[in-house]
Amino acid sequence: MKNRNIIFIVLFILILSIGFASLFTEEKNESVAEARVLNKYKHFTFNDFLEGTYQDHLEDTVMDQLLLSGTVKKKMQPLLNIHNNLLNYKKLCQNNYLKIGKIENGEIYNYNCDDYIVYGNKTSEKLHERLELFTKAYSKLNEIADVYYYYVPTSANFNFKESSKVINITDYLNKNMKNPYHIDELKYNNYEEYKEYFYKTDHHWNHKGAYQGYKDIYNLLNISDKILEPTEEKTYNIDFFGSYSRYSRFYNFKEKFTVYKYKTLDYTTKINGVIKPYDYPSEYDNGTYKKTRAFNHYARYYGGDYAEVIYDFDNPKKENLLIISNSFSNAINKLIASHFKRTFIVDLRHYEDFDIENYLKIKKVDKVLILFNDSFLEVNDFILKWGDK
Amino acid sequence: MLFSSLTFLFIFLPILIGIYFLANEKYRNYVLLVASLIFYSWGEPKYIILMLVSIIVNYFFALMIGKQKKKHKLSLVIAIIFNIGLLVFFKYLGFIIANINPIIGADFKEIKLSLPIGISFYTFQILSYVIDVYRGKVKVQKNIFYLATYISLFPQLIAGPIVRYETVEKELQHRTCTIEKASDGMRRFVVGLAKKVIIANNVAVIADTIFDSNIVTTYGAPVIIFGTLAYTFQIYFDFSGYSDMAIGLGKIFGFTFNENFDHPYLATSITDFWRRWHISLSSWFRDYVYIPLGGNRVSKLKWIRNIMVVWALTGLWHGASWNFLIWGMFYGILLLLEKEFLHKLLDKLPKFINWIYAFIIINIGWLIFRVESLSTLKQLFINLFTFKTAGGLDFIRENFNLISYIPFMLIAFPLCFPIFNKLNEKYKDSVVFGIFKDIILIGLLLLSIAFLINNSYNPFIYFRF
Repeated sequence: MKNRNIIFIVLFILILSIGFASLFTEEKNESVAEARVLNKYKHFTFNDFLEGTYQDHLEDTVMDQLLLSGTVKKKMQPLLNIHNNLLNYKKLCQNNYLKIGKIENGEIYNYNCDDYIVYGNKTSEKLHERLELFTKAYSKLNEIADVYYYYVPTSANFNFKESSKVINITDYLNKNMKNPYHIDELKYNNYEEYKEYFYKTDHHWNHKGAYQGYKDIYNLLNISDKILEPTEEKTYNIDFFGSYSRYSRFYNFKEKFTVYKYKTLDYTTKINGVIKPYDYPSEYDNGTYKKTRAFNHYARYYGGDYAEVIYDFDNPKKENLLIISNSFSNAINKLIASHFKRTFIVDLRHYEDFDIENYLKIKKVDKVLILFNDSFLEVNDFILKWGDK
Repeated sequence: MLFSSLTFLFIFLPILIGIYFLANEKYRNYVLLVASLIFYSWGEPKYIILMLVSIIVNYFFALMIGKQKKKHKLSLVIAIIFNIGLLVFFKYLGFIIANINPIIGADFKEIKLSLPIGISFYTFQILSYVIDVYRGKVKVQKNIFYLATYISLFPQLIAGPIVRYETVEKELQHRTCTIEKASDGMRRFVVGLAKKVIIANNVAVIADTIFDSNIVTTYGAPVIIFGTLAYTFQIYFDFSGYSDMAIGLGKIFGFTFNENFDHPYLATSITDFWRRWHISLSSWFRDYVYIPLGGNRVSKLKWIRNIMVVWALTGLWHGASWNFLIWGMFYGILLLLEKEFLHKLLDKLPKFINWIYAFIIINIGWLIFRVESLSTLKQLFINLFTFKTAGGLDFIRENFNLISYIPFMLIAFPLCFPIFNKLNEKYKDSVVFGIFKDIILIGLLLLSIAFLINNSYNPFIYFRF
């Protein structure tokens, strides 16, 4: 009995100590499975401790840096996602939403037993409440600039069972927004049309949706030079698992990563003030892209979300454009920019207090494009702040 | 800090065990005191001052009470007022103001204070100490650091069990740490961790999905029953898991705490249930409220009053909300009914029927406990006892992912019964069984860690009390 007790104590202490020791090994940088940068230890400060942020960060860091934590997460998934194997329960999902998990921005569903993941609908109350804030903040922008709005309705605002939007946002803005502006939106009328424009496992529009968006914006901005046409539709042999899959760890559905190829004039890009490439299609063409399952191919192929991206096509006869957007514009930034002299793409999530009035003056912006979707209405960062002005 | 956090498991605990067992025996209380203060401040840096003030003030009150030959009642009364006053201020003031304003037409400003973690537990421990000093049951502790060690002792500090001073009085002065005690403590800790992390956290997803839904009032009886059952399992595995971890940690460091649970869902009556559920709380109310009020050695009316006062307070101890008060009164009334009439009837019925009766009542109790909004609660009771057309398929569609958590419900149910205790008893001398049990426990420790790494859902229910 005594020996058994000693062995148990040794094993218990050993397990805790191995965990403890593993925290002092070389820090891991990123999780391939979760496609994210891992937390790292930070210095202790009394203020952080008082606010509890040091403690929370340490817990997250231990979770990330612990020996085999990535492998454990991967292996645990089948155990905790039994329901994923029961999805073809036809009576339940035929023409119906079937909840399969949660991600950062809400709950996600399988609809109609297809291999598509979609958002659950936001409530109209919630959307109305957010629209009021949006309308107020952007009406002020209309007063000082030539503003063009392009709305991309996602599945969060489209009820597939009833083939209708929860809220017609364009109508709402037309009724409530002050000062002159121009507006258009990506149009689809039912689930089948939605599927044409969106990825199966990612919340973004696919190459067809993005191209439709570009064509609509081309018309909205009343651009006079020739519209770009795809030169090729190319499908890479990649099992693409989009954001819905990555964040909910739901890997039952996949698709190939398909893009349109375009030819544009030469240009340079600056990211946060530094000249460097924005997108990396060449990695896909020469096969050097990352082949891990949960890699974010949308962001790598088209470009990621930065505070400021500048496209310079160096054509003095053309105007300057400011695009305020989120990741949806990544897929068409280059196409739109090809019709302008300089195009500034700003993601407001990176700014505490973005002084747009000053920015318009300094950059000599002629037109402003607000390319927004439902998450624009959800996150406060996307709402322009005007201070006392 | 949570016992079921990785910071506790992989940083706090290994370091503490190392320092504690390397330290000379006479310094071990100080090691525990410092560790306990770090443990508390980890989750509640600002309110550690409150706990320290409470310790210092009560130390002097107890000294005053203990020094006088004829016990000084005034000191005791002031100490009680001070302790209850702190509890009322931080826990009940907002509730009192919110309810008084509409009644007397006043406009007192609502005070919104965050509840200091564990205040209900450590206040009750302190009260038991000063009252027992007054009663002469325990000697006054003259070493303020030892008293602080008792009050802040991290295993039981924030979610019980409510350890009375008399339980650990001798162990605070001298305690033996043996290999047997330490290994038993570690085994008990693993059992508690597994209960919390593997079962409670997962059945909680079902209960939370149902009761936190903004359409909960549209659910029919099957969904409400399903959610209530999930909560019944959640609260038991959560709270008893915490108590197991606390008792286990106490043992590792040489303390013996009293048991807090005795398979409560095995109860065959409500009286029986309360002998098995949160034993440290019900015995506290019995010894420090019910008996001083006269207990059952008074007239029938006063006895009814005593029972109802104790159960109203028990309800309110859990939270400043009407549903907790109703929950307490619900049990008060049931206990009165059982003592007066029902026990005679129950005695005549088969045990299984008694069990069904108790289990249904307990579940109804947890439904009242879980739903804080009275209007929602009322609607749920209407839905529970009236026929509502289907809606079941819609619920499944909308919550299809809950299917993954049903296996945890199925595991939880048999584990509410003392299967393992009986096996333990039967094979206590078997070496093979002992080895097998240890292998299972080490497996459970690893599995719990895996769940912790994977699962962000982690708060203990009893932290807020």
